[in-house]
Amino acid sequence: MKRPDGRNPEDLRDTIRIEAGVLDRADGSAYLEWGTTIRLVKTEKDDKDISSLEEEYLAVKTIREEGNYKYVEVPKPLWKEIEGYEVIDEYLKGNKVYVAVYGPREPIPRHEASPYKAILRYRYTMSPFSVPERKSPKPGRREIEISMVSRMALESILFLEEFPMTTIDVFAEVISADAGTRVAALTAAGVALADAGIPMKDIPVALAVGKIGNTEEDATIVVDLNKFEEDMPFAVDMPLVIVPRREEITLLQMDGRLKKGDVEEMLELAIKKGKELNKIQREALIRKYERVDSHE
Amino acid sequence: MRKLVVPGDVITEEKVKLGPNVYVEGGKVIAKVVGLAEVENGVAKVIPLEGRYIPKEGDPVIGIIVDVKIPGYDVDLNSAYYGFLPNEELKEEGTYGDVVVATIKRVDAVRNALLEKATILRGGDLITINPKKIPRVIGKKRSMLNLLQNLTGVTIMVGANGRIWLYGKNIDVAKEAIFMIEQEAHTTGLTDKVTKFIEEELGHEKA
Repeated sequence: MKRPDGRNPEDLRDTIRIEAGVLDRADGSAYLEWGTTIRLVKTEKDDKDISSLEEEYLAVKTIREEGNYKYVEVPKPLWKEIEGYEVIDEYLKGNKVYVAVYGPREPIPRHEASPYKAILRYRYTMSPFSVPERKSPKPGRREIEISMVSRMALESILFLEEFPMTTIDVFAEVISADAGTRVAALTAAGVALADAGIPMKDIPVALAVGKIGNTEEDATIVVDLNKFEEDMPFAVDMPLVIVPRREEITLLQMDGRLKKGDVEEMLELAIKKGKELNKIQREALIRKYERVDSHE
Repeated sequence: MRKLVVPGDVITEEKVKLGPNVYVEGGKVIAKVVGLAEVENGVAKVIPLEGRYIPKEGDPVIGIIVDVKIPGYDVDLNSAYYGFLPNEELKEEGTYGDVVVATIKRVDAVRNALLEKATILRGGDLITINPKKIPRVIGKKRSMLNLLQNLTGVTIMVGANGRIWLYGKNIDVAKEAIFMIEQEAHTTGLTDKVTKFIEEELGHEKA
C-alpha cells in the first residue's frame, strides 16, 4: 500500500522545524512547523503522467483549472516525479503550533498551590481558523481532555519539587492543524519548557504511530499519520510521549483494533523515530545561542 | 572547559560530586537545564542560561515594596517568591512602590525570603534583565561592573534577582551595554566588546 503523500511507512513528515525563544513576554517559548512542503506545478489539462499521479496519491490534488492548464499540488516525497515541470509556488501544509511557558510564578488562585511541589498547568487550544470548518473558540471536551493528558505526561519528567508554592503555565496554541496536533504541541512544549529553564530529566518528544489501510487485512504500520491517513477506512492512531534517553513512555492513547504483536512493533518504531525528532529539538535549543554568536 | 548542554545531555560518566542543576542516573551525570556544563575540582555542575530568580541566602537583591504591614514590608523580588523586610532592617519609613536594596538573611522551606540591611534607592533608573545573566554583568571579582562604572561614570547597583539600578549622567549608554551583555552572556571576549561599545557611544555624544 502506498501512503497518500508518497512517504515510506517509517518516515516522519518531510518538514519538521522548531525555533526556540520566539515570544518576548514568555519565560520560554517555541514555534513548531510539522508538515509537508508542497510544490505547485502548472501543467496541461490532459497531462497523463500527472493524472496518474493524482489517482495514485491522495495528496496530489488539482486546486485550480485555467483554460488549457491546471495547477497541481505535489508533496515533497514525490518531487522526483515532477522534474522538469514549471513550479509556481512552494509552501508548507501541516501543523503549526506556538507554545509559551510562564513560571515558576506566583499561583493564582493561591489555594491551588502546594507546599511540596509546583503545580503544572497545561492549556491546549485550537484556533478557530486552524481547521477547514470554523472551530468554536470555546474549549471543548476534546481540548480539555488533551490538556489533561498532556499535563500528566509532562509532570513526571519535570523536577516540580524544586519550586514549592508556585505554578508553571504552559499554553499551546494550534494555529494550523493537519492531524497529530497534540503530539506537535507536546514536542514544542518540551523545547519551550527547556527554554524557560525548568529543570527536567530529558526533553520529552511526542509522535504518533498507527496502522492504516483500506481494509483491516491489508493495513500496514506507519509513523506520523497525516489527515488523509487518519480518515482512511481502517485507521488506528496511537499518540505517544517518549522520554528518549531512557526509552520510557509517559503518554499512550489508542482506540481501534490491532493484532497481537502490533503494539510491540509500533512502540519500537516510535522510539526509533522519537530519537530522530529529539535531535531536532536539541538543535533548536542550541541554535538559539548560535543565533546571537552570528551577530558579531 | 565549558560546554553548552540541553536537558538530558550526559556531562560525565566519571565519579564526581554533584553540583547544581545535574542529576545522576545509572552512574551517569546528566544536565537538568539548558546551560554551560563544567567539571571542576571533582564537582560537576551546569550554569543555567534561562530561568526565573529563586531566592538564595546571602544574595543582594533589589526589590519593590508591594505591601506595608505593621511588623514590616512585603517586597516583590521579580520571582515567584516574596521577600519580607522587618521594620528594624530599614532605617527610614518606606511605602508602596519604594525600591529597596537588601540582603537575603534566610530562606524558609517554601522559599520565601527574610530580608535584612535594606536601603531605599531614590532617583535613577531601574531595569530588569534575565537573572541568570547577572553573574556576567558583575564579572570575575566585579571586573565587568567596575569597568561599566569607570567608563560611563554611572553608579550601578546589581541585584541577584535580575534588577539593576542606575544613577548618573550616561544612563542610556550603561543600559545599552548591560543589555548587550545579557544578549551575549554565553560568549567569550565580552570585556573587550563592552569597552569598545562604550567608547564608541561616548565618542559619538561628544562629537
